[in-house]
Amino acid sequence: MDSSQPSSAHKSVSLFDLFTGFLLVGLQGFGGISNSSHYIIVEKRRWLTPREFVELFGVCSILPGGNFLNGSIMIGARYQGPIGSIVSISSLLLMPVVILVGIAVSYEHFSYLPDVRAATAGAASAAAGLIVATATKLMRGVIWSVVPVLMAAGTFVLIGTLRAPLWMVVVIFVPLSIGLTLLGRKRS
Amino acid sequence: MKDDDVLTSLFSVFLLTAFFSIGGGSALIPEFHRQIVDIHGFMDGPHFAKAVALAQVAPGPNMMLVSLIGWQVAGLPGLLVTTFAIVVPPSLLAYAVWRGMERVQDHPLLKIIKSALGPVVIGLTLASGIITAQAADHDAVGWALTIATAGLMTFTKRNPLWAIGAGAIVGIIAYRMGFMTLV
Repeated sequence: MDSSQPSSAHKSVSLFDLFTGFLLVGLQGFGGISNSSHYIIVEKRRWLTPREFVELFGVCSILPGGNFLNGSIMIGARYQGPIGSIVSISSLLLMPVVILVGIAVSYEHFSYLPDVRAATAGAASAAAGLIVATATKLMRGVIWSVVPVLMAAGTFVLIGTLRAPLWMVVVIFVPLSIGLTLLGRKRS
Repeated sequence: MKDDDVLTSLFSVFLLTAFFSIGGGSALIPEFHRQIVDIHGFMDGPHFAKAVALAQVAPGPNMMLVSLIGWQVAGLPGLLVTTFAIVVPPSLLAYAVWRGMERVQDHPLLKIIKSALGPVVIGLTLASGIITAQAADHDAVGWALTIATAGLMTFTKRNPLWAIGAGAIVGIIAYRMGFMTLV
């Protein structure tokens, strides 16, 4: 399978296929579902070619909401219309929510044990580090110049230091960043 | 506060956040923290940090932190309300965009918006990490764990479950050796 494959539009994918496919994406998605969704959707089921996958999630990444949640809506719509969207996103969320509640209930049940509380505290500190690592990994995908540095730093200070509400970022830094990027393109 | 009031404020908090939710689940943690801990006081800081950790252990979309917050604040009704509020509005928009996909997909503006959003999402995600660390870390052991995890995971593609597991083990050892006090 490679990107020379022109399109997957001829494929027929049933509601049951969507259900089992997205159930697996959810179940295998440790640390977010970006890896498992590529694995199931492109490599195993071949619902999208690698190129289609990149294009679809490119559009999703600028929409509000989880990128892959939006992706499941679009893939469901592509093969089975609105019902396909509902089946896809529900099956994607089903197992993760059940497992998460299971973990939360067992934690509450055993949290009287000091070792469990110590382990959870350690895990929470590590989880904070994981989120920082997500940010540093994303940094590699950006060509850094004055404008991106200012936009990233400004957003960080506004939210991380000043604890401003999220809508301020959407109102101030998103249009500013788009405007300055457009300006930069026009000059070059 | 009456149960209905809790559910109503949970619903409005996450519904409003849904419309501004850029960068996905991990980038939204500061806003969740601001609303749930600072404004409404539904959870305290350490509880919030534990919810973030538990959500990292379970498989699935990062956005499921929202379901867990709903569950911990108001049980099953809370879970249903928060999940619905954060998932449904963006999904409706995604469906509408899908219908106009041919026009959107190759539009030159798409590339520009994508590269313009990149640094903003990085700033948001970094703020998420710092705010989660401030809620989770109470002593030198906690901060050392956060910094070590951030450093190591930046340079490896290893499954993040390893980091969570290692953090849990270090937590137990540090507690048993008397380096860590439980909050």
